[in-house]
Amino acid sequence: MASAGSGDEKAAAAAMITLISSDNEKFEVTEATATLSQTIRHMIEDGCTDGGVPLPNVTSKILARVIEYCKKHATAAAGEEGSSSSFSDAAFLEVDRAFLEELEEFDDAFLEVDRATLFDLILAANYLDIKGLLNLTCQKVADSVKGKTPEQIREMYNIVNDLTPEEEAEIRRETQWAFE
Amino acid sequence: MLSDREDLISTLPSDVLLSILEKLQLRDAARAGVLSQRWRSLPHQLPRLAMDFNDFLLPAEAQLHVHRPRPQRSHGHWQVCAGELDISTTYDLDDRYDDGQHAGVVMLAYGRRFRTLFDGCPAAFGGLTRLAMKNMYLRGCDLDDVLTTCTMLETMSLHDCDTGWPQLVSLPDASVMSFGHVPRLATPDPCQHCLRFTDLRLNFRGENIWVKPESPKRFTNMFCNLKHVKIRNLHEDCGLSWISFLLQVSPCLKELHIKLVCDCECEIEEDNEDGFATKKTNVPWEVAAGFKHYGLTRVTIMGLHSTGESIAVAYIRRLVEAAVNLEEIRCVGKLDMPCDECGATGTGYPSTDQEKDSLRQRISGGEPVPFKICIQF
Repeated sequence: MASAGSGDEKAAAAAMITLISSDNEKFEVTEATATLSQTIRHMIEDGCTDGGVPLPNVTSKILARVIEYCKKHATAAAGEEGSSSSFSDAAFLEVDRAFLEELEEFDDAFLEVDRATLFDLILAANYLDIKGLLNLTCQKVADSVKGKTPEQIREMYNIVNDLTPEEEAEIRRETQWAFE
Repeated sequence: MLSDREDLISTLPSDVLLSILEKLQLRDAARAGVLSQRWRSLPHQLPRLAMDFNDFLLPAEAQLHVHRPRPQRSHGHWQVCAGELDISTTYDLDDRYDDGQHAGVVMLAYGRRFRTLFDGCPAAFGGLTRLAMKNMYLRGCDLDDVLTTCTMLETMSLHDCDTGWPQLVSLPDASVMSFGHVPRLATPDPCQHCLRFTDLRLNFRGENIWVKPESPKRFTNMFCNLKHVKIRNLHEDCGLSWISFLLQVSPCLKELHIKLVCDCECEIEEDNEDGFATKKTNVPWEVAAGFKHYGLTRVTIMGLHSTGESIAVAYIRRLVEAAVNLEEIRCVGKLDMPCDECGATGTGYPSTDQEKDSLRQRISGGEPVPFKICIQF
């Protein structure tokens, strides 16, 4: 932990935010990383992050993953801002593409989680309002049901059909075009 | 693991489930409504619908996008309460398919499919504020039904939608009506209903006039509130006199904007290559002697060029005689956008002071006039 030291250290410490998971674990992250979350961004703007930001809806396991995502993507955002002027367009595009590919690989690997974790990540992304992460995780779920029949989806996600046969028939009638 | 048997997905908040559904094709999203009670109403709450004809109909040639800017919940029915619909097929007569007949058949098929879509969700169409259609053939009765159903329309535009004339009926509050290339636009049937749009835009693409004015009475109701008319790419060989019919039937008309087709060489070459040159036919139109228009205050003629100038000037003369309250007439050589064919941005006429003076002289008839004549090059 940063003790009171030189001015540089102080400045660095000032830009750090402490996030506290539901199981009371503390995570130190840079402001750039934390502000990928709109929820936290607003807290910082309102000046209520002193003493850490409690996140009672997010476990340490999930928060660690979320921070991993934010760190990577915060670097990406910073990279975009910082490097544009220092390269010629062609060189910049080259670097940009390589970086985007790397980011894509990171995202793919990031999504290699079990279903319960995926849903926890979705909930955390939703609660913390991290658009990129919410998008990424929702897309994963969407991809999994794409082109599947309702029966297959129910089976896949253990959804119990609590509609009466009449109700189900009615819905099918309303959206007949979708079932043709 | 316990969670393997649990229905975790249904415990997600509705807005999250909606973001998931939003990423699906509409057909998949709509089907999700049958999963369980929890899912039943979700497809109806989708904030944005994106439909792709590829999913519904024949392959790869048509696309449909629906944007719903103001989402409104609805229950029980597939209903869109306000929105914009841009519907276009990528099939284009300009692409000159080997068999000209075939193009027509395909576009007719698209028109029929549109009709199926329309019949399938009248409530959705009823909520549209904007409808733009491109590259499909519609029957007059189709358009008639569309206009009767789409009571919320503010803007409607048709491009390359060959059609019997839309029997324009009850289009309340519609403010802009724009027609692209609708060559079969025939004479409308007498309109019992009043149309209240204020802007009319016609694009002739330098081809024949497909508006066939017959009896002014038929138009009077339709254009009674018309204030602005923009006519694009008119070939001056077609004559401008038919435009007078617009004046006769639109007493409120304030502004008339005419852009003549570019006089470029490339257009002629293209015609020759194909072995035909489109015959530009005039639509004779006689205005009763002594006809006066009291509303018209501004007239702009764009793209005036030296070759067709005398026809245009003759028309302008007639126009200024009829429009007693005219305040300004502008003749502009410069084009508002470069010519599609040659990229020319202006006609280069009138360029010399002499030409300008001569033009001014002929417009005013050599006498002092109570309106401003602006000649820009």
